[in-house]
Order: sequence, then C-alpha cells, then structure tokens
Amino acid sequence: MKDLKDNLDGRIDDALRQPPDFIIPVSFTGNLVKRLEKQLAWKELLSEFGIKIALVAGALIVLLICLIFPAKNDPLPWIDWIARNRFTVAGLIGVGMFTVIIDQFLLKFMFRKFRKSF
Amino acid sequence: MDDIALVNALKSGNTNAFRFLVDKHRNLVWHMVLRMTNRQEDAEDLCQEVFIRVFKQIDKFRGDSKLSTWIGSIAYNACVDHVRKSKREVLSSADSIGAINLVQSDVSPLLNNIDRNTMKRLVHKIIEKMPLQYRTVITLFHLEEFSYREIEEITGMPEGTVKSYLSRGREIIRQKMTELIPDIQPVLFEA
Repeated sequence: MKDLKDNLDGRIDDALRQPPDFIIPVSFTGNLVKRLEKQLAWKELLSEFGIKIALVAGALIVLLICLIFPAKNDPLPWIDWIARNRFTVAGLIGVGMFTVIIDQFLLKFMFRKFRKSF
Repeated sequence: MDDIALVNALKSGNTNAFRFLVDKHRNLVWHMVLRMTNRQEDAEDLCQEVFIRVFKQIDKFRGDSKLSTWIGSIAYNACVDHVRKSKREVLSSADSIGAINLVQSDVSPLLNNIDRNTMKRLVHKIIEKMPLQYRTVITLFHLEEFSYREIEEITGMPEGTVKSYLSRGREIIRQKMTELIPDIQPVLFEA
C-alpha cells in the first residue's frame, strides 16, 4: 500500500512539473519585437513633432509680443487685417499644420513601415 | 548576458536586449498566463502586454530581487487585471471544484496502467478547475521552481498562505484522482 502511495505522489509530482500542452508560437518573439519597435517609432515621431510645434509656436508668441507691446496704443495695420480675416488666417494655419504633420510625421512612419516590409 | 547587463541594455532602449529578454523568460510568462487565465485565445496578446510592461517599467527594477521574480510579479498583476476585467473567473472555493470531464475509457482503473501522458492530462485538468490562487501557486512552485519566498514576492501572498495553498492543492489533486482511478482509493483512506 505504501508503494502505491509513493507511486501516486511521485507521479503527481512528475505531472505537475510538465508544461501545458499548448506551446508558445514560434513567431512570438519576432512579433513582439516588431510591436515594440512600432511603439518606439511612434513615440519618437510624436516627441519630435511636439518639439517642432513647440519651437514654432514659441517663436511666434515671442514675435507677437515684441510687435504688439511697443505699439500698444497704435495697432499695426496688418494686425487689424488679421483680426478682420481671422477665419481665413485660421484656415491657412490649419492647412500649414496639416502639411507639417503629413511631412514630418505620417510620411516618416509610412516610410519606415514600407522599408521594413522588404 | 547577466541580469544587470541585460537591464542596463534595456534601459538604453536596446531592442536586441529586449529580444534576448523575451527568449529567456517567455516560458515563465506563457505558463503563468495560460494557467491563470485558463484562456488559450487571449494568451499571446496578454504575454505581449506583459513584456511591453516590463520594457516600459524597467527603470523601476532596482535589482533587489531576481529579474525573473520581478517579471513574474508583472505577469501576475497583468493576469489578475485581465481576469477581473473579463469577469470569467468563478470565485469558487477549492472545495466546490466540479467534476473533471475526461473520457472515462482513457483512464485505467489501475494506477500502474496509466501512462505518463494520461496522468499529466488528468492532473492538468484538475488544476484548471481550481481557483486562481491555487493554479498560480502550483504553477510557480512546481513548473517554474520558484521558492516560497520568491512566490511571496511575486504574488504578495504571505509565505504561510503559499504553503497552505500548495498543500491543499495537492490534497485536492489526490482526492480528485479517486473519482477517476478506483485503484488508489484505499491509499487515500489510509492517508
């Protein structure tokens, strides 16, 4: 009886040490590294884009401050023109931003993806 | 490459180091995810999620424990989150494990006549039916060969609780065996 008990315990131990039947796919590591590289590329492009936008916006703000403050009581004619045509100006800035996004961000990302598929 | 060199390479964003890390620890994460979620369908995505978390949180690794233990704790937390979200886990007690659905003709009434593969299948089926804590502790101790202390670090369960789950888990396996293999019933009565 003791032999049978030892046998049972030994066989349970052996079964517990065996891995599940369902094995990890061969392509697992490759797929995961690709996913990580994609995430890192997005992060890099986003931060690069953010820095550029911040630089341009910062420069514009400084420029405007420099122009507006000295002429506080005598607004420049072109500022008055911008105020009157604000929707047109906003539209132009929007198109400019879209072009910058496509050029600096999406095109780079697409290019990297396209290059890796070869 | 040792753990410190690997961690330093990962901190500098080296994707080759990441590949090395995944190859080294993928079985640990895979086994934990499979056992804890009981879902083969979600296993690959969840494993990927675990390794991405490892990469993002690598700065938090202070080297107080082994890298495998730290990765195990990230896998454990990810699996617990996943189980909570999916709400599939039946929070049953170990005493209310249902019948083990195996083809009875596969199982010989004599222990000595049961081959290794069938024994494995039986034991694994029983583990699948156990509550989450039991499955986790049994997998970490027997399959991944972590110590009680390391299992405590991974799961946050006190060492005494880990020992208790292991001992109770083994008892459940032996009890369930009696339902399938009449030959061993006297052994359990004697025990």
